[in-house]
Amino acid sequence: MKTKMLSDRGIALLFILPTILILVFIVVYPLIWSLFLSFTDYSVVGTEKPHFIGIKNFANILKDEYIWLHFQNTAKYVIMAIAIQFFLGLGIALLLNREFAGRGILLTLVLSPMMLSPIVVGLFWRYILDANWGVLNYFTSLIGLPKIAWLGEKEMAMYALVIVDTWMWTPFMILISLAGLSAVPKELYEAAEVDRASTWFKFRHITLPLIAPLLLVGLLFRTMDAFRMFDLAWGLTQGGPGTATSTISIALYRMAFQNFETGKACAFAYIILILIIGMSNIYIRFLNRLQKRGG
Amino acid sequence: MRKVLLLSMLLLIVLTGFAAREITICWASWPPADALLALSEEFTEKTGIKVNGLFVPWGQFMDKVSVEFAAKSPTIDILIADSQWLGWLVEGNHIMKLNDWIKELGINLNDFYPNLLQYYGEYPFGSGNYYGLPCETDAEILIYRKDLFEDPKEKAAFLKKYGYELRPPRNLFEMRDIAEFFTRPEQNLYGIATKFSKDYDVVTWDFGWALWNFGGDYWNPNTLQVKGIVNSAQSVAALEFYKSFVNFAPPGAATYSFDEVNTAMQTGLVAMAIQWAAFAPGFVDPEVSKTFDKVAFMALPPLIEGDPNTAYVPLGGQGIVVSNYSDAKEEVKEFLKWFYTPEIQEKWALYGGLTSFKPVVEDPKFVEMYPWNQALKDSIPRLKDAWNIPIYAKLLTVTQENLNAVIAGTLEPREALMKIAEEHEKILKEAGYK
Repeated sequence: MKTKMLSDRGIALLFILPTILILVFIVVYPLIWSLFLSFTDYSVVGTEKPHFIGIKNFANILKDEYIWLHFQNTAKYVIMAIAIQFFLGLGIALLLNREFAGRGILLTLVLSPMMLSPIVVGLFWRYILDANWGVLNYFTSLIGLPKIAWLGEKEMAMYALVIVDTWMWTPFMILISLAGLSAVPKELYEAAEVDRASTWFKFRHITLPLIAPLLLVGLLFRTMDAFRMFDLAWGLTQGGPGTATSTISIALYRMAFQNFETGKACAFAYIILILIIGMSNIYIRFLNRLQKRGG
Repeated sequence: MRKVLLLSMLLLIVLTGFAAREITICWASWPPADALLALSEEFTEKTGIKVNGLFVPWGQFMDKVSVEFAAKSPTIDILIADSQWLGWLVEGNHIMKLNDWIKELGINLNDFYPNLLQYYGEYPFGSGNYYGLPCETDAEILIYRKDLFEDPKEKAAFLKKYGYELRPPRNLFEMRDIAEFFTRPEQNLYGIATKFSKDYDVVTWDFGWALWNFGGDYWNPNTLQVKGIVNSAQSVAALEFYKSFVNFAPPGAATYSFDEVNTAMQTGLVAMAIQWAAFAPGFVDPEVSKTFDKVAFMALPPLIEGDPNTAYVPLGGQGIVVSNYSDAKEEVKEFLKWFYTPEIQEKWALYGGLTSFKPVVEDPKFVEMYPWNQALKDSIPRLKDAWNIPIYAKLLTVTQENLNAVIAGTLEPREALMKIAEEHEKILKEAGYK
């Protein structure tokens, strides 16, 4: 009896086939199906089958003033949060980038917020920032400051969201910055010392150019993350008061799971996806340019 | 060998038979659900039908139900559903029409208050098609600090300031005077806590109390007219009045939902609170409330004392509906037959359920059961609901955001109601109602 042996390529294919099938089933198929649904009026709780309506969902979303309001809120939040986290993260990393007693423990403590679940962080901070029972107002009242309705006033609510996001995600920027700083060759600083270069000169001409690519990767991740942030804002404010902290992810959640406009929500999700891809490309091009210049 | 086979088959039949004799009730995860499950043990003892609870946190309740029903899953047999869900449940063909069962089981519809039968079960209104029956009849009630209200010094000061006696409010304006009177930030005391937040449906239903009593409405359910109703002069006046309560509420009240209102009253931060009757046990529980022995309950006051047209109370709670996908319909039928009897409804009330079964509610014993039952009984004929059409969630989202924006001070009442009117007209038009 003759046995047909599998080729190496065949065996390799056989090994990766289950993974490919799973990926097709849980990633590719939903992606294609949701793209199809985005051109229909389908509602998951309705009895009607999806009807093709062309680009109506996309057009309706783009001309909806409420949606633009959510984009504005998201932009405000992303710009404020990312800028603060970037500078704070880099600053703290520069302070931590030296040997001192207890550095390891301090670093662990500093990094711990980003290991928590965002929804839990949101709910915790909701209590911390409560105008009447919150510990933050308790401490500020000790120095004679009035109670602040952090989550109940339009202006304060956005700042509160940025503060909580910064508390949670600055550690990520610290981590990235530290990784970059530890990779800078010591000899460069020694050479600069010989030339009696100032601290600012060393930072501007040695540290920054060398860690810039890594910082940019960190910024890319944080921007993408902040752009689609949902759970933190949902736990903290549910988008309120009014629509003051309602981000595009909250708008998408309401569209998909409260109003059950499944087709429209798919269209909205694709618009967000395109935006994130666009922004990421800008970052990546900038990153490539930096690397070319450096390399 | 044959004996073993026969015995195995018999065992299988018995086991299969037993497995089928169970039903699953899906509800939000909160104390009334546990009470219903505890009461259902009597049903199990009587019939051998096991009752399972599928209780989901409020935030995920609708998601869970919609996923189960979209998949036509038989997991849920009985759903205890919010009244506003009725439209999408019926039009999605997810729940059974109960008219035949009601007749077959001999359930007397006269045992229910007509407004509740309509809100919890009839779709469309006036059609005579019943898809649900009242289960947990909740109403917004007023909880107030009787120690403050009965304090002779407070009474004298109130009389001097307002020219009439301090008493449980008899109309909306008295209530506002009392809220103003007790607002003393320097003593960490405020007049009122109510649900101003944009969580779920809270501000829409709380505002409904002022809106309906001022003669306004969210829409005309018969003509589907919104513009000219939700932004009418009466509606604007109602929102201006309702907004004035913000001045007498604790700081940050724009974020107040169920928990915050409870805590405000339980910690002694406020003199009055508007809350659903279902939360009432927490106000008299010494384990969780500092003011457990200082509170009293009453129905929400009307705009004009004695005028039933200005005395509406927002309806909460849920009705029983039966899933079309249930494969235990006979067992469900037995459950309904057992549940809708005066004896079991009385027990349901004793277990802490909010029954609206007339023979129980109108029995003098009812008001003696719990200190809030009189408030509930007074509220029942006055209960009013908003929408129950399938697209209610879209209407609700717009309403919540705009009303909450008024409370947060970012929109003026007139402007907010105009926005609601325009958006609602658009939503109804897009959905083919106009």
